[in-house]
Amino acid sequence: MAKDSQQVAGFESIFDSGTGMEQGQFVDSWDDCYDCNVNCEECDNS
Amino acid sequence: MYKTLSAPHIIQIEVSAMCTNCCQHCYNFWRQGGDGQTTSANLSLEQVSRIMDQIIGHRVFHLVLTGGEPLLNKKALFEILRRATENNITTSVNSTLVTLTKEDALKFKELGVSMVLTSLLGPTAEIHDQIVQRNTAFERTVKGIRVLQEAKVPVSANMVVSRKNQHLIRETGNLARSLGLKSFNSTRAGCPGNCFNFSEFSLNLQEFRLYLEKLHTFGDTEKMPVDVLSSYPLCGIKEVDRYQKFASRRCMAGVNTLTLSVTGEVRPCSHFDVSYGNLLQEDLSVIWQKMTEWRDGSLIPAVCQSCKVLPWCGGGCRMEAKMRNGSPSGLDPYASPSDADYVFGQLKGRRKESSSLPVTVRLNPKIRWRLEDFGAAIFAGTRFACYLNHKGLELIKSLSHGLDLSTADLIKRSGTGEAFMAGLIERKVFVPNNPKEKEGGD
Repeated sequence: MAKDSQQVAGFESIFDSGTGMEQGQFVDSWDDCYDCNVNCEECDNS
Repeated sequence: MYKTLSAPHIIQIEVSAMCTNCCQHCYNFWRQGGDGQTTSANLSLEQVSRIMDQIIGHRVFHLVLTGGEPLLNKKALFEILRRATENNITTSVNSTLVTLTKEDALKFKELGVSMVLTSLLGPTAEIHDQIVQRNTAFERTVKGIRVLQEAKVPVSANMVVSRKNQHLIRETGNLARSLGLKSFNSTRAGCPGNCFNFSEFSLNLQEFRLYLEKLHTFGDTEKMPVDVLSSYPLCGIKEVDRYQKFASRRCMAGVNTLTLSVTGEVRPCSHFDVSYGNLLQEDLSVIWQKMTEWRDGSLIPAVCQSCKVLPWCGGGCRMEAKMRNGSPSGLDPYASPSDADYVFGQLKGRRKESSSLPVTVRLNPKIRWRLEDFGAAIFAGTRFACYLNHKGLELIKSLSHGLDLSTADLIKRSGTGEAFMAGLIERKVFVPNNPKEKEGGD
């Protein structure tokens, strides 16, 4: 979920560039979970 | 809207169309009728070989083996697991566990299955067996959970919640806890593709929100981690600060995941009933390109297109929209656009908590990456970590495993700043090499 307010150098967004969604408040798209069927608490990296 | 990756991160493979159970709410639209009979198709070993060649060649990170019931096609299931393990692809299995044997569990352990997910649809045999329409299913599933635990295979349970069992969330959670499960998951029942009146099962918005509250309260009072395993529209969730975890998933069908049927047909997700090609006849990249409408925003409802919350939300489930509102680009029935401003206010008010960086770190030994035209997709263990641009990737590629790395030096070398380093640590690309630091101690 959204945590930052600035694009962080080094990371890339899953949103297409030029849509506006990859900038600013939308930077945290790369932090999203997806339908992996695994509870995050039980993920081996949690 | 979304970038087109070179291939999906995760593929769900329906290993068998047969199933031990006949769940009343089953989302598998291809299941035949309600007479308890399921289709008899299985993936053959020859098909598995061709499919795995493609999956390995396209550097997919993770496979979810599902069905039907995958343990009804053990030859194919274990062959997929074997080839995945040999090629550094992580796996998990969705199973009723009804036919699980000790030998199966030991094979799962040997082949490195990261997680087995099963369904608990109520706290007693009476309600569980009624929903799955099979006598003794509850007893067998509970036994299967214990067999997996004895073999030290991680196992988790999901409760599909419908009007049939929405009053039993706390009790089912308590069962999960008494079985020694570390967490309790729950998902709302979704309308299957061959069902045109799901009203007997579908929660309405009020019931949906009550379900989230019950699940959250159970986790809070019992100190047991709870989660939902599918994405819901944030305006439907409404209290996104209270239910942060439930609000952290978005639909990534056709963006970084897809489902492969027992006949090789490729769908954007397990629930969706349209195929975009057949993996036994076409290259994965060709089929993946045909799924553009799942990435370019054309399936996002008009109301959501202009919503300020869309970047966090994604617009909810396209299959629920199709089945209950008539079109895959329709509104998710759990959406409540009038609450979007309220949700946006919560999201805007969030502040990232800053914490001090550890002095030294190590590369997570479990990281894997796949090159993309923008840089790379990074996985840490079974979990997606982040996307990196070329600059970020260069830093990772220049490092060796097992070495203590100075955080200050890494920041200087990469020229990306502390936020990048903090993000890499948060996403487990780097791990503190001092256990006390990892725990937040000094």
